[in-house]
Amino acid sequence: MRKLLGFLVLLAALWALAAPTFPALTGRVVDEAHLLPAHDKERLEHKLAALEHNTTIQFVVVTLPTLQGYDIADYGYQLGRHWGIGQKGKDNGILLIVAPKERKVRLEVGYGLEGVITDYEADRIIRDVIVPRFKKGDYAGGIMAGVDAVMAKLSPVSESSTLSKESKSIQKVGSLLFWAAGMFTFWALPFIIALPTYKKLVPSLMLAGVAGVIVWMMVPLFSLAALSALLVFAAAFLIPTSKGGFFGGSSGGGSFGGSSGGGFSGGGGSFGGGGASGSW
Amino acid sequence: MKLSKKLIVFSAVLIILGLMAMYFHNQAVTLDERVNAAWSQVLNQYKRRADLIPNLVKTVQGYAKHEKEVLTDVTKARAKVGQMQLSADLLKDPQAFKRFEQNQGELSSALSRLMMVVERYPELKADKNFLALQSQLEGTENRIAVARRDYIEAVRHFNTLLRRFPASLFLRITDPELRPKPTFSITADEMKRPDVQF
Repeated sequence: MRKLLGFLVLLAALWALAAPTFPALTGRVVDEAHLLPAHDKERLEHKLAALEHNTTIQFVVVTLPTLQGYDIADYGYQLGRHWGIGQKGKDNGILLIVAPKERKVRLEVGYGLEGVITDYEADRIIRDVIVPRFKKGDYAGGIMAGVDAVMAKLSPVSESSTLSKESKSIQKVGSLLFWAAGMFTFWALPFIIALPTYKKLVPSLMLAGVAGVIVWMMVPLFSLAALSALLVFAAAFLIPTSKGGFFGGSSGGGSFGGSSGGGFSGGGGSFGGGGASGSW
Repeated sequence: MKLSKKLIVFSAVLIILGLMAMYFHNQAVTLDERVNAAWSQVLNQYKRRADLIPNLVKTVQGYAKHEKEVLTDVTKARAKVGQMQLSADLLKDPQAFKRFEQNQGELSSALSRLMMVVERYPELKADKNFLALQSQLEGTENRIAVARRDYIEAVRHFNTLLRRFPASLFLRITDPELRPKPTFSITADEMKRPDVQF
C-alpha cells in the first residue's frame, strides 16, 4: 500500500513537472495568434533589435493561440528558459506574452532585470497601459504601447558589454587549448607506442606531462595528476612496439557550436518567475 | 618482458577505475552544489514573502478592522515561520525539513484566505499602497513556485545519481557521507491545472 502511494506521488510529481510545448523562436516578434498587422510587426522587430544592440537586453513579444491549460505565469517562465531569452550570465531577458483566447497577458522578467522592472512596475504597465487597450479590442495598440512603456524603463541601463565579451573570448581560447591538449594526448599515444624503444623516452615524457596537466585542470589534486602522468608514461614507454598500432582511432570529442547565422536566437538567459500577469 | 604486459593491463584497469571514480565524484559535487543553490533560492523567496507581511497586514488593517481573525492567523503563521532556523542544515534533517514545509504551507493558506477577504473591500483594493503590496506578493508567490520546482528537479537529479549503479558503488567509497536529500511533496495547488477560462 505504501509503495503504491509512493508510486502515485512520483507519478503526480512527473505530471506536475511535465513541460508544455513551445512555439519556435522565429524572431523577436512571434505572433502565433495573429494579432499584429505586418507593418506593426516590422516596426516592433526594429525597435527590439535596436534595444538589444544598445543594451544587450533581449525583449521578445509572443502571442499564443492557447496556453494549453497552463497558468500564464507557469507557461511564461518555462518559455523564457526554453528559448534562453537574455544574455547568459546577465539573464537580461523580457517576454511580453499575450494569450487572447484565455484573455491573459504577462510580462515575464528575467533574473537580471527584476531590479529594473519590479513586479509592481510590470503590474502597472499591464494594468494602466496594456489592459485598457485590450479591453477595446486594440491588441496591436496595447502591445505597441506596452513595449514602449517597458523600454522607457530600460533605457537608463544601457551599459557597455565589452567586458563580458572579452571574458567570453578568453574562456573560449581556454577551452580550445584544453581540447587541443586532450586530442594531442589521445592521438599521440599510439604514434609514440609505435616508435622503437630508444626513441620513445622524450616523447613519452612530454606526453606524460600533458596528461598530468589535463588531469590537474579537471581535478586540482596534485597526487592524482602525478599518478596519471606516471601511468601515461608507463603506457607510452613500456608497451612494446606492436606490428599494428592496437590503439586504433580515438573518439572525436566535443564539437564547437557557433551561434546560428543571421537569425535571432536566445542568448541563454534564465527566468525565475519575476514580472506580473493581468487579464481583461 | 612478460611482467610489463601484466603491468600494462593492471595500470589500464587502474586508470579506468580511477577515471570513473573521479567522474562520479565530480558529478556528485556538481549536483550537490546545484541542490544547495536551488535550496538557497527557495529560502530567499520564502524570506522575501515573510518580509512583505508586516506591511501587508498593516495596510489591510487600515481598511478592514473587522477581519481580526484572518489577520491574526496570518501574523501567527508568519511568526512561526520567523522562528525557524533557515539554513542549509535543514537539508540534513528530514524532520526539520518537514516542519519547515508545513509552516510555510500554513502561512500560504492563511495568506490566500486574507486575499479572499480583501475582495470585499473595494476601497482597500483601490489603495495604491495595497496594489503595490499585492503585486509584490503575487510575484513572490510565483517565484516561490518556480524555486520549489527547480529544487525538486535538482534533488531528483542528485538522488538518482546516488541510487543508480555503478555510481552508487563508487560514491559509497569516495563520498560515504552523501545522503539522499529531502524534497517537497507536491501540493494540491501545484498539481492543479487551471481550467481554460472564457
